[in-house]
Amino acid sequence: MKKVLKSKWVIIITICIALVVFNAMVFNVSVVKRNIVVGIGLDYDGSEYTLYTQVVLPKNGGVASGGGNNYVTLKGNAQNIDIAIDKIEKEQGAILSFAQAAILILGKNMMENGDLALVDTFFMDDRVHDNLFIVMAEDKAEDIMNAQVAAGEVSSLQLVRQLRPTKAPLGVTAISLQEYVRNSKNVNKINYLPLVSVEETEPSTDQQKENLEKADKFLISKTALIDENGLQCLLDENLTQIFSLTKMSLQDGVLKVDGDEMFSVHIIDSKAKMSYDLDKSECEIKFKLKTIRTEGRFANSKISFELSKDEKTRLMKSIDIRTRELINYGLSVNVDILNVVDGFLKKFPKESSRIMADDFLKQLNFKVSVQIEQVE
Amino acid sequence: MEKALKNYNNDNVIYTNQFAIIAFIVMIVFKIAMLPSYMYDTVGRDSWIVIGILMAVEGIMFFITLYIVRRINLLKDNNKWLYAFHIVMYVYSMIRLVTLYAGLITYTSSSLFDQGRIDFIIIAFALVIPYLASKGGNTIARLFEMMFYFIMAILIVMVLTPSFKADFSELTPIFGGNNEKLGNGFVDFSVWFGDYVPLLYFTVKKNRNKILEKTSVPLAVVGAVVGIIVFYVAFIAVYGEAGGLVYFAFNRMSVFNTLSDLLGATNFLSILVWIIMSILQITLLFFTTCNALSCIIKNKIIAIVINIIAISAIEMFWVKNLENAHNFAIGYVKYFVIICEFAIPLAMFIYTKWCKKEKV
Repeated sequence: MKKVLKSKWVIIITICIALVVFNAMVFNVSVVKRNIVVGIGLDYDGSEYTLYTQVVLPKNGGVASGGGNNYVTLKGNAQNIDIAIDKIEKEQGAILSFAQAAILILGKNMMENGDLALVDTFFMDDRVHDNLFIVMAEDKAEDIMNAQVAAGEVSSLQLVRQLRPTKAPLGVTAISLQEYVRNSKNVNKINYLPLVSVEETEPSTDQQKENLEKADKFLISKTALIDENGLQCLLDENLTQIFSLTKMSLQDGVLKVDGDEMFSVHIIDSKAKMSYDLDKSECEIKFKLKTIRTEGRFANSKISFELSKDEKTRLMKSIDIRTRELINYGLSVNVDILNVVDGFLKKFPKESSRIMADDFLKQLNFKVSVQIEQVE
Repeated sequence: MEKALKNYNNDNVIYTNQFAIIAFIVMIVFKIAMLPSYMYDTVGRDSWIVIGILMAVEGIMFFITLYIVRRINLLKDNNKWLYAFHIVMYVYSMIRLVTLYAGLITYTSSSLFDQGRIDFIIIAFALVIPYLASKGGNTIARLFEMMFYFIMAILIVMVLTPSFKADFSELTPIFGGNNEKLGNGFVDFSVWFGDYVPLLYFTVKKNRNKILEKTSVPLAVVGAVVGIIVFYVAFIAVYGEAGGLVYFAFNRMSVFNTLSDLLGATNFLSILVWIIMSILQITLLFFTTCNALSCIIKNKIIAIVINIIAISAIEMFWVKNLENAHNFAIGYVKYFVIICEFAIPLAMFIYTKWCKKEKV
């Protein structure tokens, strides 16, 4: 007996029993008592915040068992997010699990008048994914959450699908919670969010088989620019395209060149680099594009997808003009859209007083250079 | 158990490649958890340079430690002057154990449970860690060796499937922020460094494989130093000025890979790998306190019992949470720790020379 008591198995069994007992005593909630959140919305009415959580209700064993899912949107009003979450949990008698939340939708009034620091609550919550997409609703987040999208689908997941293309295209660029919070902590930086609006559409053929009601679709073609004070301005579809071309590295999208003979090019790859020269008060934006003409043209007795010399010049000029339009729009609304000031500050930290002067941006020369490589 | 405790003093001889594996794991484990956030709060965007310098110093100290432990076996040495060494080692290891153990407890509580009660977690660890420590240094080294391949497999999968949008302009301007606290970065976080000191209670003998013998330690040390610098650069590029808000950086950073896009916020691979590494590191520190105390009171069983009761009580009733542990670590103890981190190896180096110890 004495030998048995001194055996290592006594220790191992004791550890196993202890771990099982302690595990049983620790507060753990079964999946039945959890509401799995797939999308979050946040509105502000001037006095209170409304939190919307779109949760999954698995039916007949869920998707894995061929049963599918239902979704329901739960909402709670409060002065801050934690209290709103608590309210929803108490009403439902279930815990909200944010680990699978894929999108955060902020209402327009929230962006204009709400406390944007509340977004940090989600960032600091370990249960919330840092890759969570964040967008702004054209009006209320509630409209997006309640949109009737295709049968069997839910608005937040439909939006995520639209925001997550396989390659970065020319258009609105999605932003994750991690990027948003990183940018928002830099007071010299302008942050951006895709702007989402809802539009009623005719039912598709497939939908007609099941449901003759009209469905909603999401339009994501504009960009909202914000700073620590909230929404500053909106970029329309054209400005959004050139904004994306300047700020991101793109691998997809069609760039149209207007004129007497309109043509377009497909972007295979794009890169933009900004350089700063304080002595010359100059900011240069260099574009490097790899493109192919979207439609073939007849040249030298054969079909060619290469741009003619004239077309290449027109494409370069078009990018130059559109970039200047974007800069001028920023100057007109007093927003540093391309974060030029931040760029100068990073390169010339000792000249901050000169760079931070009110008229610094207005006195700056902008130079645009475009390098085009054609792919056959 | 009794047999294990009897062998306690005699099985601290390990091979060079085991030393290398221990060095690699202990050099990275707690530096990728809470430290990036603390460091960013103090030093800002230049924290990757500060950690780079500190890691380079740490790397050099590992080579000095290897030189020493090839020549001495402190657990068998009865020189009376070593009493002072054991006392200092005990206090030093206890300070580090109190701080780092709080990190493991908090991490376990927040990553595995909704509202994990730390008292239960402490009691669970209080059974596991002393048991591992009671098996002796050789077993601990073997455990490190076994887990190493598993840890590396997970780390490689995570590193090879990255998916994040980094902004490397967040790293600039280098030393341009007029950061008055830059110097503090070198001193404040001393408790998170000095991972070579516990290895002084080991004795390293040559590996039969000559290639492993020559390359394992340099590879492990350089790998850990470069890995940590890359991790901090990526951390700053990903989180920028929000870095101070990110606790458990490794957990958060591990979300940015293609696997996690499918799994959600919880990356079980990262949780698994970090908890294994941190339990090994805490066991090593606990083992050091037990070695030091048993050399003073000459009783191994009592040393283990006293230490586990002491550390569990300290964590449960005094430290309680990560914030208290952090405040303790950056308090006055940091000066004692930083002195120990250089004075102890230096003293042992002189002792080795003085006693004209030969290679094992």
